[in-house]
Amino acid sequence: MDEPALIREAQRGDLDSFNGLVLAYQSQVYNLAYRIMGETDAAADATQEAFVSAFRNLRGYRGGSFRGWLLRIVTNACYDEVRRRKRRPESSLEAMTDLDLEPEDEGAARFDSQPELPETAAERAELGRAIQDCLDRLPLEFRVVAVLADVQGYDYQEVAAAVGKPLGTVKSRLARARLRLRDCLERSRELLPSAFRLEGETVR
Amino acid sequence: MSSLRDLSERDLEALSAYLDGALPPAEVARLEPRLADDAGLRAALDDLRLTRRILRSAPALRPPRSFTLTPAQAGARRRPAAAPALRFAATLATVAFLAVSGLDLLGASLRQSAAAPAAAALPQPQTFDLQAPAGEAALESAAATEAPAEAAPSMLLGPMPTPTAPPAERAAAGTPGLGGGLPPSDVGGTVTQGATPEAMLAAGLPATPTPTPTPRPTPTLPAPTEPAASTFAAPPGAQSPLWGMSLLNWIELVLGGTAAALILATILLRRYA
Repeated sequence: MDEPALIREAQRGDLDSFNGLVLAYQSQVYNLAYRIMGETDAAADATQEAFVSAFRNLRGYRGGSFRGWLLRIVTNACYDEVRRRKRRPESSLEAMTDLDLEPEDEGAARFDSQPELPETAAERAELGRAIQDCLDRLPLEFRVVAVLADVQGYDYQEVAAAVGKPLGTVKSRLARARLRLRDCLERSRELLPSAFRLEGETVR
Repeated sequence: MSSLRDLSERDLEALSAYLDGALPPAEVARLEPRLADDAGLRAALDDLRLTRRILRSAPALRPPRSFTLTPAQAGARRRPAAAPALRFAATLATVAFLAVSGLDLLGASLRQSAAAPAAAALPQPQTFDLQAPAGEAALESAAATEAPAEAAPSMLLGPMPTPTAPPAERAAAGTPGLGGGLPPSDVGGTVTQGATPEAMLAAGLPATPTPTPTPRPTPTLPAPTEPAASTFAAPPGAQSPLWGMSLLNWIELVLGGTAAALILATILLRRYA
């Protein structure tokens, strides 16, 4: 069944149709949540909460990009989860172990498959760890924009809709986030796969 | 690579947007000649491009489980929908309970103040004419704790000469046993009933020239009407009708219980929904 039909049926309360949408989007949603929060448990909680919230509010969806509508809900769920975990800061150790879990996901699909990506699982894991470490150092509002635009590759309009901010704010936050990320990635350049290292040096 | 850090904020934003093809054409027209001339600016753009490329190459994770909703998760959406209504009902019941309790307390304090000479103006407006003499006498007498209920109104209306006040005071003080253990309003009520006839006979009639025979019925009227007026909040044990008092108490009880139950239900719903 195509997406508009699934949405229509789900809006009438058909759970199977909604779960069809969940299956179609859960990987994107989970990865977005993971990159924003840097923890698998927190990402899973936010993902589940986002889908429950989406089902509750599905009647409020009035057409347009369903992904954009969903991104807004996911982003809000992430903000809520981050706030909730700030009040219960017992999971800081999990973040460290989560990064070690990443190499096991080598078979996962990629949203942006560039030909020069690192070849080995170890290289990918190393890259993922370095990126996440730098993302985690960003203020939340910068991180969310950087993850949406650069990690997930959504366009400015979608990012603006997801964070509920004007386009100008998105552009400004993204530029600053990129500057900070670039500095951070340069510091951990030795951790980056050779392809990126070499290019970084040639740019110099 | 240090060129990126040296950029102004404006140039940084322009380069970042240019990289994504999101720079307005007018600004593109201004930026591109500068890029052609300025190697540092080109290097900064390359830096941004490389940064974006690294971020886009972040490996995607496989979701640890399926996030499809179970019927229970889907059904759970209706429970929180009841929460706002429940919260409103709990608030309403609490406010009503507090209002009724406040009314009850106000009534009680009025009754108490009715026993005090200074603040007893409200409850017995009917008795002022004939009990004026007793009022000033009561002020003078420290022992006249029962009399002030009738006395204070007369003060408000302007005291009259009271040559025969002491008998009224004595008449009022003649029932000291009542004043000891009972609430002041009870005392006021009984004293009015018990004392005013005597006060009328002994003091009122000779003392006050203005109230000719016509006021005579009035002291008899206040006596029965006064307790009726105070039944709304009178405590049990008084001579006033019991059902009126207990009705108020019943309302308080029901409202209090309802408020507590609704608050408990709201908390439980929030915890388990």
